[in-house]
Amino acid sequence: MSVSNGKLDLDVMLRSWPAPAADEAAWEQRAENIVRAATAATGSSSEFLALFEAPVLEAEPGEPDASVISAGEKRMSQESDQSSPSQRSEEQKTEAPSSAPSVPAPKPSERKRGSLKEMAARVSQAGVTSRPGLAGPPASSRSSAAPGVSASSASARPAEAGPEDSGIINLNTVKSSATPEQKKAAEAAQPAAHDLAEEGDEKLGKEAKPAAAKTAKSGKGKAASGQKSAKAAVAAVPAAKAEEKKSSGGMMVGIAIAVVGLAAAFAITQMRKPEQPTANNVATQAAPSVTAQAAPDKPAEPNTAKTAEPLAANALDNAPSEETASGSAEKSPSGAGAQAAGAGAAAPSAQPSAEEKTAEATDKPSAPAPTDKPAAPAKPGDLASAMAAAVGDQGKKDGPTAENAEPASASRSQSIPEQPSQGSVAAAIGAVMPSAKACVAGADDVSRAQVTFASSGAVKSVSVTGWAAAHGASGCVKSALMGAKVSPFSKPSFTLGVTIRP
Amino acid sequence: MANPTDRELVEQARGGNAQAFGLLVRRHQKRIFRLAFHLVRSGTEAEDVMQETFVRAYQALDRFDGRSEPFTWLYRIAVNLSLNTIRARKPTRDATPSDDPRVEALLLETRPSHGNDPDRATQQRQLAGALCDGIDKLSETLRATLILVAVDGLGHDEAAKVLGVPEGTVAWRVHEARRKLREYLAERGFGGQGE
Repeated sequence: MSVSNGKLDLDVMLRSWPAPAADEAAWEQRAENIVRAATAATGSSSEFLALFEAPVLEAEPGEPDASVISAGEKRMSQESDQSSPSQRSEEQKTEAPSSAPSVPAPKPSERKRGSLKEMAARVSQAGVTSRPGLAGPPASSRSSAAPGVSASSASARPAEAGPEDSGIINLNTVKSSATPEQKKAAEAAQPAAHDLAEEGDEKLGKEAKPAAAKTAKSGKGKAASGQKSAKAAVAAVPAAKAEEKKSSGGMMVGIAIAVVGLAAAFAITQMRKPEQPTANNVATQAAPSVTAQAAPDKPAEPNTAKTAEPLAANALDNAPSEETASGSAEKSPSGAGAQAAGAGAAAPSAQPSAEEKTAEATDKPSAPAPTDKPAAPAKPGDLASAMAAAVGDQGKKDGPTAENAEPASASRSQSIPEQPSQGSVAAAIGAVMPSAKACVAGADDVSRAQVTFASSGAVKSVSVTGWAAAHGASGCVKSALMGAKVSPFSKPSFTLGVTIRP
Repeated sequence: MANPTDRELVEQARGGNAQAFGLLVRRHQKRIFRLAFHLVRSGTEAEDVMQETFVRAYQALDRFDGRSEPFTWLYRIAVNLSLNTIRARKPTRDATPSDDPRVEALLLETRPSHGNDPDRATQQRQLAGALCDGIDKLSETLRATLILVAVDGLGHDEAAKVLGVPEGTVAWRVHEARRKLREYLAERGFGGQGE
């Protein structure tokens, strides 16, 4: 026996475990009996086919059987989909020690990278050249800064204010005096106010109304609207000044747009009403822009100078063309911010005398317009006709369809990713993989497929190679994979390699 | 023919050569009997299993495709017949009886080592009984695999062919069976640490 010194040699014991002993004669007799029985036996082997098959034994719990293998296959088939997250985590691990050893890995950096890529894609899709000068800070920052400004004391122009910074259009007042036609025109102009930063110079120069709406929205126009014609009523808005300081180029454009808008309003007024004294006309042009944005801030209005007030009121009655700007601006958050900022500027706007206003207002036409359009002729009489001509052009260009369509398509393209996300691809392939695997059940080799998704997200084509192709199962695999669907993307197509293991 | 291979004997037996088949029987009957004996735990039943194994094999010689060795084929038939015998039994004992032929066979094998020492003989009997108990406590799957590999001495590849499972599965089963058997013996104070 293999027990020695308390130790048991189990293997030796089992190996040497004999069967009951028998002598050779007995074995010879047994053999003869077996041969005799075998040769005498009748019957077909098909009656006991199961004897020649592998014994039916239940798998032990935890036994490394086929299920484990298939689980491994599942992982293998998903390796393309899951490789990126793992790589990502590895990248983060490698980046983490260098950037911040004691801080968790900088995960946002990955998102940041993706975001920039997305932005670049958007820009390329939109086909728009951005103009830094026009792209000011977000509307939210402006609108948040404005209330603080309006609440502050009515100081004079701050130190950082440029010489061209000045008045504000009281858009509410202008709106209240608008005619139905003008309201329609304003509504038509709203889409163009979608994003000032995406507008080119040409558009700004040619399309005064939509651009004016944008200007009013962005908050720069509020300061630019009447600055040439109403220096007397200039008020400083610190927040606006800070922004304008950063982008004086945008300011110039805004000024030009505002001037054109005012000119258009004046021209309409001239067409409807009998002529008024030239100086007054000019002054009244200035007045609405000076007091315009004070409208939301009601207490500011009584502070307006007595001499300026009637002029302003007159001007508001006579200048409804600003409706387009105010209408669109009020409906956008940034426009509201502009108005709010203007409210703060309205209070001090009453301080200068009417003489100053009138005197300075006369200087307005002589100010050079930065745009191509001759927005302000030298003489008031000429200005009216020029404005009328300008408004006529604008009226023709006001067709809302083209302008409306552009922002919509732009926003749509922005919402669609360049290519489907890995998650959506993994989910789509994972959904159809069981049926694809069923096609190659029993295969002894892997099958591969190239799945091409169309931009709609549906599978455009599937090419199958490997075992399935060699054994006529490619059709089955194709039909299974054709059922995959991902979310739409902007690339013309997206191809993915899939390995199908039996 | 001096020493024909198993395949040659099978080919000759297919042609109606009873002597060739008799030679095949004589070559493998002891191993088949030993295997069946450890599986069915009965000398008589093992003899029946052995005889039926060869009879069935002879009847199915035409079905032998030659992809595996004839003895593997015979082993498979023997295992199936043994399992059929076990499964056809009514559940009987919980513990190995003292007259278990396996115990007697083991004691017969080891008797020279302990001579006339009654204490040693008693210890050996207890060990043999515990060993049989431990094997019987194993599941049918582990027991069949352990007997094929550890008792009968088949390689993992041969046992895999007999059982129709991967070699890794055979290795795992043998390891698991040994582990459980060793634990069982250790619980009863029989060392169990010897590897």
